[in-house]
Amino acid sequence: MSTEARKPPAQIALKIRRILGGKTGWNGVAVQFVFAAILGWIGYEIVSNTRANLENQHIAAGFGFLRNNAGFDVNQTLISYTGSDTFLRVFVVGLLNTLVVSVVGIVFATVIGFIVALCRLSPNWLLSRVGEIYVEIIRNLPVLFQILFWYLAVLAALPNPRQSISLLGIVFISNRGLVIPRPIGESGFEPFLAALAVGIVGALALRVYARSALFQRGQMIRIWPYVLGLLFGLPLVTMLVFGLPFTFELPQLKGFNFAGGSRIIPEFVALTVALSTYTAAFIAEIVRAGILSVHKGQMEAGSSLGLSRGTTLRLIVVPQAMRVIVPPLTNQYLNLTKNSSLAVAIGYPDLVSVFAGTSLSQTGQAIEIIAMTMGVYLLISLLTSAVMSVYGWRVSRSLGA
Amino acid sequence: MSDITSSSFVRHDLLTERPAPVKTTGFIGLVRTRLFNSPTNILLTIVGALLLGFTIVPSVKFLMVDAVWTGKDRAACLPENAGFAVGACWPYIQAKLPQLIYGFYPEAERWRVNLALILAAVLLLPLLVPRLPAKGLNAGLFFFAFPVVAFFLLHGGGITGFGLSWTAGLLQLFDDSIMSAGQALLSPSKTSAIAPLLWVIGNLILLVGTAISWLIFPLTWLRDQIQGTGQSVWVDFAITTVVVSLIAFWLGGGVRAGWRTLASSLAAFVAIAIVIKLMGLDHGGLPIVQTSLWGGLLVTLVVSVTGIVTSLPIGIALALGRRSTIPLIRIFSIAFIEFWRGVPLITVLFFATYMLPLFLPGNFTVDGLVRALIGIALFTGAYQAENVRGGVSCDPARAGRGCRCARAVLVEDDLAHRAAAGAAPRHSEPRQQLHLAVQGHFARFDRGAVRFARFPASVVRGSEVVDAVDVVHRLRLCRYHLLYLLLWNVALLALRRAPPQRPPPQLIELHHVR
Amino acid sequence: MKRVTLALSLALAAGLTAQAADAQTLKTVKDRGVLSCGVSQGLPGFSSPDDKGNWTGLDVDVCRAVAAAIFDDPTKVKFVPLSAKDRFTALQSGEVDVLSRNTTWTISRDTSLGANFTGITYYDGQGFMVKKSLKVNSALELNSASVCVQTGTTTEQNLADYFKANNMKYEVIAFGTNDETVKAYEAGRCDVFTTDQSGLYANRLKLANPNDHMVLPEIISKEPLGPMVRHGDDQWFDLVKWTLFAMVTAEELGVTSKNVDEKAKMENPELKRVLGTDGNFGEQLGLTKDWVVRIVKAVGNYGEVFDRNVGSGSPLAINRGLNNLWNKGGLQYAPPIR
Repeated sequence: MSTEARKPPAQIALKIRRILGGKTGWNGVAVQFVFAAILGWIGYEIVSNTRANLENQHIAAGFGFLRNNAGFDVNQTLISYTGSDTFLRVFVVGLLNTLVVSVVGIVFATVIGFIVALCRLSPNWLLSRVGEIYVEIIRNLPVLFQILFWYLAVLAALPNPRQSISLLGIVFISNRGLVIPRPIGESGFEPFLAALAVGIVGALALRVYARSALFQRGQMIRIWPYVLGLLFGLPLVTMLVFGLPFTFELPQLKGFNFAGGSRIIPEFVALTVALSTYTAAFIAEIVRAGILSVHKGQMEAGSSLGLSRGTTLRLIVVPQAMRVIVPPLTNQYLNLTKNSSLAVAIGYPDLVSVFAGTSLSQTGQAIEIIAMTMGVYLLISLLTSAVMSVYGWRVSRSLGA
Repeated sequence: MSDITSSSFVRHDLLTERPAPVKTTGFIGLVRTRLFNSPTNILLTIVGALLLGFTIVPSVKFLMVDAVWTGKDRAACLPENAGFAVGACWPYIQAKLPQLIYGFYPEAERWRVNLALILAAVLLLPLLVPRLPAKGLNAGLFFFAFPVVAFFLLHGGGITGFGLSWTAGLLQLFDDSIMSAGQALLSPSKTSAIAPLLWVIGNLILLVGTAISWLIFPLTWLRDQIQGTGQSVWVDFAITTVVVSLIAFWLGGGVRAGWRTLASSLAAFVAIAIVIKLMGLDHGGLPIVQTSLWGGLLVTLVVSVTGIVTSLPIGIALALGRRSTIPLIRIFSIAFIEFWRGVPLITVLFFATYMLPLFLPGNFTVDGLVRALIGIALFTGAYQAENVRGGVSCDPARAGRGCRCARAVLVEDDLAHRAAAGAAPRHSEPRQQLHLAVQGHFARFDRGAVRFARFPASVVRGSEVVDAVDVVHRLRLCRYHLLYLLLWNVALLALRRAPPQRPPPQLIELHHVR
Repeated sequence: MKRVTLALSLALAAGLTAQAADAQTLKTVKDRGVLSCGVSQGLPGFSSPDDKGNWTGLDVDVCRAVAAAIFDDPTKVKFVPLSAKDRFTALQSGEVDVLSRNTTWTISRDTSLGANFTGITYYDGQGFMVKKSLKVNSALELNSASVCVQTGTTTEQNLADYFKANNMKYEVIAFGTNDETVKAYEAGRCDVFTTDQSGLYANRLKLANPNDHMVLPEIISKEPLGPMVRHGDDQWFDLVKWTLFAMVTAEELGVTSKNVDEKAKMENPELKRVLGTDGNFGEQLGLTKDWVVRIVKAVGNYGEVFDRNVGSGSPLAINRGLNNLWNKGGLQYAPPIR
């Protein structure tokens, strides 16, 4: 009389339960149901209220306004734009302005942040105090205040264009911004660009080859003369063959302002300086935290291997510190991008200023415009997060964590 | 003997004194060892000195030397009147100082702001000193009693009822909303295809609503009776006192052990009565000052403190939601957090200030400041959620990414840095992690609140916020803050039932979990 | 805290009953006990607060007149300072009941913004202000200049049109608020500051040395400024519209804040109609019979308001010009009250 083995409980049901309700099972499903009902109800109410309110007041809805003429001009445009272009183009212009200030700001903030962090960790007493004072002061003042400070107190103190500070007669600094000669492409431009591209690709390939030779055969190859040759020699040769790649258009004072040349407007400078110094104070603390989080023994181990202090930092300490640094660093990058929306206070034509500001008041379509603006910032944030997580994941993986 | 003394290998006279070793302490030592000990260091010192010189000298010149100190207003600072190139204009600041502090708060009522600030300081200071007793009472007063008092002090106005009226009002509101939901379902059901179903559901809801209205009828009836008497606040107050005290007595252990609870409950109510009497809340209270008149430092402080206090419970709830295994709640929490972290505060404030009424029905409005406060609370709450997650998910058994985040926060904040130096071996203890999360919260807060575009005068961040970090650190906020406990437990209830072998990670028990 | 909870639960409860009901602004205002009025953040003569937060100005007095007509109390107004770019959103959403913020009447604003203009309180035109030291005498000499302008205004668009039409280059720097714009102009960021002429005169007074700056003679646009209300509530639209007309009518009839009581006793049939001793026009507007008396007593007739705020009785000292009555060479003309 053998007892049959009892059947195992139906796995499929358990799995469904687990997927639908998590650890809590069917109770979780019930909670979810209620939760979804509440969310749906709130969503329905918002939509119906808004529709009722809009219909009541005959406010135009929809995205048709994007094809209308904007009718106003913008101070700094990376793509060609005139007042007779559409609101859609205004959107793109604003977005590009936001992106350029963010990217430049991020680069400077990272560089300044690392320098300040190294200052604070420096054995030199005075320098570490200077770093500390910098961090404490900058971090504790609101960023809006700092933007206004740079714009109204520092840059506005520059002379007007007629008395501008001239460097060698080609670069001018005044309260209208920094004017530099503008390169204008000539016949040799395309070959020059091609040569430069070939040079960069070749240099990178050489480096990959040299590293694999080092790791696999232990062979040290000196590549820097070839790299220099590729990067500078090749373009130089093409210049000799095809002629000058570009000439420079020199700025000249005409009437109120400079004609010709390229100009970096003071709003951009003030915003970039304020954002990057402000964010750098936070980045400095993050970097310091990251470096301090690496055990002291790592440094000692490095020096017992006969590595110099710099090499130890570069090869041993910083890669480990990066694991700690990357997540909060991402946050700072996102913050900088979002803080660039304060540009409206100083008239820098970023997305919030020209699109969520001017365009909104010209068209009155608040819902569409604010939704688009928020959506774009969200997208930028998510993309930055994604890129930085991939980087963080690679760093962790290469350290075997 | 003599051959020893005369032997050639014994020294006959003392050695000349060698110079003392280089001093490594004190100012001279510092200069030697940390400023000028190597060529690189000398160079760095010079660079540092130059940096300081280039920033400090012009600042001092602008703020002190070239500044105008006397005068009545901005006119005194014109170069013609002053006679030299003018730096800072202090008379102007002096003339505008009241506006910078109070905004347009009516002059006659400004004592109320001062009193609120003094009250806050008086309640805060004992919290700062670890040795002083009665931290629980003190924290309770600061976190619960003070906000209510401050509200009536700053905004003004009185009350018409008390606990009983409020309970009745809330229940009635709840019932009304159920009833109108039923009505809403009934009305479109004539045309819709699923009309009968809607009709049935609508009627069911109506039935429930009617049942509830019968259930709460005694309460509403009593409320109406009380409102009929001339002394509605006090009658209501007396009834509430009796009911709450009896419940406290019963919960506290009844006749055997409940006397202590009863006494403290009664004491609390006596205190409330004194406050009501003192502020005259029973007959209208202080004159109402609209929030549109508030401004300057006052708004900065209100926004900062409200943001700090409210964003922590929101953050904890969201962080728990994000760790939940229930898919919908987890997805919602993630979406919510990422949304708020991804959009600029300035658009959030624009939305809250100017667009919110568009999404609300008809004529319903919420005070502008409250709307902005809600926006800021949600914004900082989402940031906070990530800090809490970093702290909570730091389980020593599986020290994952969160742990490192928390540790980064730990070192990031100097304060926490010192704390960690003292408690290094147990720094992955959950309680410690929660503290870290709390501290990260404050370290992060300064970004949000003060960027309050509507109030340009509030450019001063106010060192008060910094002090609050210290306060809360010393206070071990989480232990005392009952609201957090409450939210924590509510969130847990929603998330999972306690498995018998592993107690739910309630906040109190976190302290003992290893 | 209690209020917040209550407000939230109210919000939830009210959400349930949300129907597309007609926006009854007058009822809401009466229930609330105070009129919510959108004004500019600080433009002397039109709307500016003093140290104590008391608002004065032409735009402010329009709101006070509406409040006086409704409550017989010109102080029952809550002023909401708005920047140019935020104003329409605030009106659309119901954050303010009236937008009285030197807003130019244009067709696109009338048709697509969801708002109605109730009349013209000030006939204006756009001009330019420059530093005297630039030695510019005409706007046509402004080629390649930098121009400071407030964002979200018709000014910004007129500027683009004007420079394009005259084939001149320029650089525009647009700021969010009037104060920021003036500050940047004063700091030398731009050569030219442009806005409505009245605004130029008002802002000039704010500068450190008003005499160093001059307003150029060109007027490049028509800027009829007036209050706005939301679409979809005709009663409220009529009320605000006729409040303005009542102020102009009072001036036509010589009714001032001082003599209004005597005039009300006179046997002139037109005066009797306007001042409410005859007929019930006020009640048809949802007000009381003596609505015009209330308005005139509280703020005075249009001429008084003008003189007090921007005209001869104010530091701005602007001539009546186009803003004089139609029978005195101006454009102010009110339909008859009958």
